[in-house]
Amino acid sequence: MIEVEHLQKIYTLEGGEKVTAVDDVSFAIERGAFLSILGHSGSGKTTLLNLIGGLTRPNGGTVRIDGQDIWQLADDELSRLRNEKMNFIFQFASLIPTLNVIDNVLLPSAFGSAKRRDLVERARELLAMMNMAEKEHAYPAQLSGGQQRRVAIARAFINDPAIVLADEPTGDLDEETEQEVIDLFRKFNRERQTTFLIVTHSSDLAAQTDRQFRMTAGRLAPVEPST
Amino acid sequence: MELKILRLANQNLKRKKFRSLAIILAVLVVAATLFSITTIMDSVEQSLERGTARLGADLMVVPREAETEAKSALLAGKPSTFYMDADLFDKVQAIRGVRAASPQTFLTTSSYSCCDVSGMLLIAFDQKRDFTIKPWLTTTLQRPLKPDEVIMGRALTAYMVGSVLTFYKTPFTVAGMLEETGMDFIDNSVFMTYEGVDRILARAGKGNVAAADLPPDKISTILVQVDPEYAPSRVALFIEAEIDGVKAIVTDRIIASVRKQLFVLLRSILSVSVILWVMALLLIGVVFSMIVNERRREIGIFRAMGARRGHVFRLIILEATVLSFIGGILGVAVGGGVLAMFRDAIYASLDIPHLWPSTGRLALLVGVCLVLSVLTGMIAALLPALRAAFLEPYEAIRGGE
Repeated sequence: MIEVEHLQKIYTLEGGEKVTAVDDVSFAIERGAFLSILGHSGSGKTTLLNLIGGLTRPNGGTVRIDGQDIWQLADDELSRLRNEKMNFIFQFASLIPTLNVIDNVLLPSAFGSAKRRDLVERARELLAMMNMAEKEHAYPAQLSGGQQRRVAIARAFINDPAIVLADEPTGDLDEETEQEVIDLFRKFNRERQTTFLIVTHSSDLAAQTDRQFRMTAGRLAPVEPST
Repeated sequence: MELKILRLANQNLKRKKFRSLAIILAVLVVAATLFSITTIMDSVEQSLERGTARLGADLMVVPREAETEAKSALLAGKPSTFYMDADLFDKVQAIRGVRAASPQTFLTTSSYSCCDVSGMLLIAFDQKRDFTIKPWLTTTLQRPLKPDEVIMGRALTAYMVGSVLTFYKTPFTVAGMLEETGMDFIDNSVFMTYEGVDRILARAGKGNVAAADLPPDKISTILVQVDPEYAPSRVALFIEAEIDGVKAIVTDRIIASVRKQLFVLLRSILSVSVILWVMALLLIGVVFSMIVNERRREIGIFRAMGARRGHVFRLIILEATVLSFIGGILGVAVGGGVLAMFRDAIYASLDIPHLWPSTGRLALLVGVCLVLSVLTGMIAALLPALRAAFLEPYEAIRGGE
């Protein structure tokens, strides 16, 4: 369902120097895949995730989701695709500071056809899964980094996405909570056939995914299972 | 969809109270200035329109040397007496282009020894030829004015209909009050028939010393209605060419001169308002540019969550609209409050006719000020909103890092 072919992203730095963040990347994954992309900082894995998510335009290559080249879509259609089929977990604090916890979880509903009131119960369930039920009226500034991360993870499932693009999703979490999150991802993956692309530098996390890739200097290569 | 975006905008505004207040304050100042100036200008326009409509005359013929005094009487209602021979009336009536003419004689109540009230302008009119008071008599009083009756201008509210007032030691009953025009000449004057003046003169021989001062066979002005085929200014030229010693004042020109006077008076205030408006536009524009810069990551996250460019654009514009609408409402309230508190002092210092706008007109002025306030916010936020809408999502997210 996700086909990436010869994907390339080049950044031009202020001095005019060009940096190839993603270099001729190709791979294909089926619906329900549970995979990770390992790599050091600056290896291009976050850029790759954003290219697949339609957040930044590539300099070359294609990204097809369910056969549709997403970069051939009009901006509104691409936005709708993100709203209905995808969701993101960013590596940074991505909650909106002016919205409380429940409104942050419900944020995608502000831009789609789903009615807010129909999703409130689901938002509460997701918050309960993340042990954040009691904080639904708190604002991000009143939460710890780990709590904010848990709310962002709850938000990633509010629109029942077919694809979750997660960038260092367990960055601010302790080991116990990290495992709970991975288990939750696995649960959604098995029960809802949700596809997960998880960018991480943690080999332990990557080891729990079905397939692993390694990104080095913009190039992607599969990690062969150790015998 | 709009409700959801409005909710997002509202949440943001509530959490950024200081910035929201700064924008509201900027719009408030503009709206308050705009509302008070437009209300003053409108009240003068209304007064001139209604006053001249009530006067019903295209021309006002007065003694040449009394031109300034006559204009001052007409606009400021200052009691003044100037006279010309009554036989000029027949000459004016015979001029080409004159459709109807009506004489009036001005008397002042100069001392308490003669009259109940001092410093009041008494206007005697010819009930047969008049077109100033007669339309009101026909529609409201529905009968001719009796020789022992007077009609009061609207500003003379201290004198009740039915009460008896003494002018030149002669009693008159108040038969009614004219509607408000805002022109002191009409609102502060007392109207009586020439038969009423005859009653005063009849008492001159009975020890009424003051009445003996009234000039016999003299009139103060001849109000003229012009034939529609002739321009009032042309008929004024005919009159001045054919009759020596008179000035034919074109009433429309008085309006034009008052407008000019008003413009001169308000020009500096208008310049200040324009400067304030431009400053408000710049301030709101700069604040919203800052908001967009500060919220780049937030905008990127919105886009990642499925917000379209239109959503981001509307979100910024809605925030500006909500703030400028609140600023507009408060500005109108403040401007209206200041006007209500100081309107007498303001109009007294301007010394021009005025008529407080009717509820309908006031609602219109409020509406116009609110629309302009909202437009101010929307225009100021337009560029920042477009910039926000066209940010690439990932660039926006990275820019916020």
